[in-house]
Amino acid sequence: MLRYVVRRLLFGLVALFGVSLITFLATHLSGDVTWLLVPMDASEAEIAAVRQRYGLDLPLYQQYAIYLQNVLSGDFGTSIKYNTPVLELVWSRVPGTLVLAGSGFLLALMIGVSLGINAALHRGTRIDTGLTLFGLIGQAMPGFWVAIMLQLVFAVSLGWLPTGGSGSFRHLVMPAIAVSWFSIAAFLRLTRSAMLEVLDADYVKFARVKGNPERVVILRHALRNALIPLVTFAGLNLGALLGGTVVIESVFAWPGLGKLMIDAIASRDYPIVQAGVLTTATLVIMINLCVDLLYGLLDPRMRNE
Amino acid sequence: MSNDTIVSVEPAPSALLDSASRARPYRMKRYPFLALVLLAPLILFGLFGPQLNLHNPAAIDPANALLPPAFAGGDWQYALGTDHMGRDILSRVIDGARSSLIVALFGVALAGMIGTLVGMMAGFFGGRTDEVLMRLVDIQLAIPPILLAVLLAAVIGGGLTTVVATLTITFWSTYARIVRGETLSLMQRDFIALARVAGASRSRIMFRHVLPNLLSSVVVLATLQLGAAVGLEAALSFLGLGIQPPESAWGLMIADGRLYMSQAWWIPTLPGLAIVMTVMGANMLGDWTRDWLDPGLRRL
Repeated sequence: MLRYVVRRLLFGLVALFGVSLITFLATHLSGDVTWLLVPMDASEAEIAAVRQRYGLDLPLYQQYAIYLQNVLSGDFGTSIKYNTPVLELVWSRVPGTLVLAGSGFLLALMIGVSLGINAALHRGTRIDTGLTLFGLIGQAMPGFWVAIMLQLVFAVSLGWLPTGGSGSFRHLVMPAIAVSWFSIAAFLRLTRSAMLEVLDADYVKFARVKGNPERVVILRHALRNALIPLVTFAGLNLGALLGGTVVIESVFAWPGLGKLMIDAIASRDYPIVQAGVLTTATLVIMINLCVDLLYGLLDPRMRNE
Repeated sequence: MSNDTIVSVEPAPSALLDSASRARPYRMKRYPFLALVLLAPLILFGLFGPQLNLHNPAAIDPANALLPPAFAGGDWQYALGTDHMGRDILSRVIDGARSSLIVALFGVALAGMIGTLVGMMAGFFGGRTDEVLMRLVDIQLAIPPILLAVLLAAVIGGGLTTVVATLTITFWSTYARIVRGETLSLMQRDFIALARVAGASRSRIMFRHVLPNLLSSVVVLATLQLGAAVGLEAALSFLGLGIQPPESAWGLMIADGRLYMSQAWWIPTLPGLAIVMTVMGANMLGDWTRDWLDPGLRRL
């Protein structure tokens, strides 16, 4: 088990290193980044001064080494627009994104899994057909469009919920549903097929023959074994969910990392984008690491791979 | 001998078949019926759009702004109504279909070529090459697609290049993972060993013996990813990172229509329905292609 944990930790570190390399190189894609930092009418001397100040006259690998060193010591650069350290800006938005992604994930897990179990238990009936169809359509609906449709119905027509903003539970309802929409459908389909697979297994029949109540058979014997593919998917899904918040935050003006980054693009504030992407990717890698470890606990066979 | 009775308890094959067919009433066995029904309007309008005498998708007509669609009390001249600038929504949805589909197809195809090549090399050469290439896949999986687009857009700006690059970088890794696995199992087969014995070069084995056996999986994956690609393109265009204004795209129409939704619900709603139909049709076509060509991929 220890070997497995160490190996996973190393994978995580390599991935983090790779992500930092990508965020670094991406900003150099356009060749020279000096023009992002200087005003349009800068003179030759000003440009040279900026290049020297940001170390842009050094070879690329040295620039990367400096960048990495700065990032590791918590220096993500200075925002071009606000002229404050990027780390503070990004850090102040992390809770917003985590709250949104977390509640979306919980919603997807609760609704998706319970609908999936129901579909599997009512296999072949109208309930199953309806839920399966809902899963198919739900997976085809883009999150941002779901968000706008929710606004149209619950904010514009009915006036029950605020169109956007944050501060209360009422503000969270629609963004959380929009973020989780795709995942609800995905969890439904996955749980259904995972449950169908284990419901036929001998140990489930045996649990029933032993005289266990149906509830215990379903929850303790069937669902627990159906969990393995679900946990893997849940981990991968959290990454997608975090990506999804970027769009949903913009629709609902929710103060999270995604909104910060999209707004930063308009003002070409690339240090913010760089730090935002790095932060989100770090979150995704850490989540995947936890999932891998959890996977090892759930399925002892995985540890030896 | 008493064991024999236990063996015979297995359900009769007909009962198995019956429950399987009852479980999926919506999926036709031989033809992807529902998928084609969903995609038909797109294909038909795409092909015969010019003959239908539709309005110019870019023509602005302020006198006819915000007209409702025909089914909501509007005029058949503007079957799906008009937007805030008086542009015909039907012709814009059709025009948007073309750009969305072309971008999605292009991105998925490019990703397929790169991913197949990488996966084949990882499986073929193994060892360190494999290790490095698969770590690249891990890294890619850590960056959500939208973020990648955001990063690219911050540097090179939004536009067609950003969308295609994002689609390519997002989707190549799935091909690479699957193709690597398939290559590894193909390498164990006798015909590869025989090709080696016959003195075939590495590149000959790779491109003449391994590649043709991978193609059905690649086609299945490409079809399965098409829907996701259309959805991703729409999201990027919606954020203003994708296809840019003089062109029409579904995501752009929704972004525009959002501002007028209290007066004209149809502007953001209808392009979204077009996305849902396309993505659902593409997903079902993908499922069907998989069941037809490569049932082994069903666990994806």
